[in-house]
Amino acid sequence: MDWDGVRKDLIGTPERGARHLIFLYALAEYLQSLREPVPFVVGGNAVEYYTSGSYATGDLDLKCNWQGLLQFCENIGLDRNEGQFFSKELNIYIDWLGSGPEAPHESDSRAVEVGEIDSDVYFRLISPEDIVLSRLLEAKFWNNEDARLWAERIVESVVKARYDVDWGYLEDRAAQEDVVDEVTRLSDFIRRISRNTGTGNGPPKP
Amino acid sequence: MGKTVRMTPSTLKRAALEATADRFARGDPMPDAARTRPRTKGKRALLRRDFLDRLDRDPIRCVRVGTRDDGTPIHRMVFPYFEAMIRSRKTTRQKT
Repeated sequence: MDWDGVRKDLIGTPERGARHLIFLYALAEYLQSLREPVPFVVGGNAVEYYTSGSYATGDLDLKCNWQGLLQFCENIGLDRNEGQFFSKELNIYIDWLGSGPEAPHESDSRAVEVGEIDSDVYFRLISPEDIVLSRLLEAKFWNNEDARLWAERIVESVVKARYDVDWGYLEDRAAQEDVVDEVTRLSDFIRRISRNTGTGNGPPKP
Repeated sequence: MGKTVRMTPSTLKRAALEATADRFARGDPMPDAARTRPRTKGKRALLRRDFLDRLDRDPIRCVRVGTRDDGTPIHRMVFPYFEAMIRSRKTTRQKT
């Protein structure tokens, strides 16, 4: 692994989202070389990607093999504080949240791959449905109006990308988490904009 | 009687973030956090316009690359908004 090259790429990339992407591709490549599962990204960083940078987050929340991450971060010169890795020079802050997706909040089988279509190097991102549900929980139980808007933006964005949103799954999970009203409101919004723009695969008609 | 607090995954996450914030307050390294929290209707409208502009300029690409044993589709996504930054940066580095 070209550790110096990774460092140079990180230092030379001022845009946070792109810097995180460089980190994730390099980490994915390293973990693949160890025959370990690729990183799984959750939290605000997932919102940042799904909204093409409209949402900005400072840290990178990820799940992956601990030993692999530790070796990788040491090799590129990050400091460590328990499960957090950081470097002022590389301007990066990593928060390790576990070894992999945790059901039922993070469905392993629904995770989305991120990477160029023909590339062997990719990492995984929490599914749009799961990250949307986490925002709707914030909206309902923390009265966080912004979280509701971000949920709308995420669905709007992936629908436009022709991703098949699994509304049945979303509704089932919403019933478990007591946010059916939020999902109903969200699906009404998406149905409305799908009708207006004539694009995307909105939710099925009630 | 005490109020029941619902502990959702997000609640747990916020608790973790608050614990992290405490560590920062004690002088540990601070991330370059810049969460956008539009508070007014005008700002929200601007944010949405900016968001739609980005989607039009660099639409996310999503391709179904396979199917798992349980029948669920495997999607791969490309985020051109960020990929373009990486490409331009690497090109610059290679030139210098």
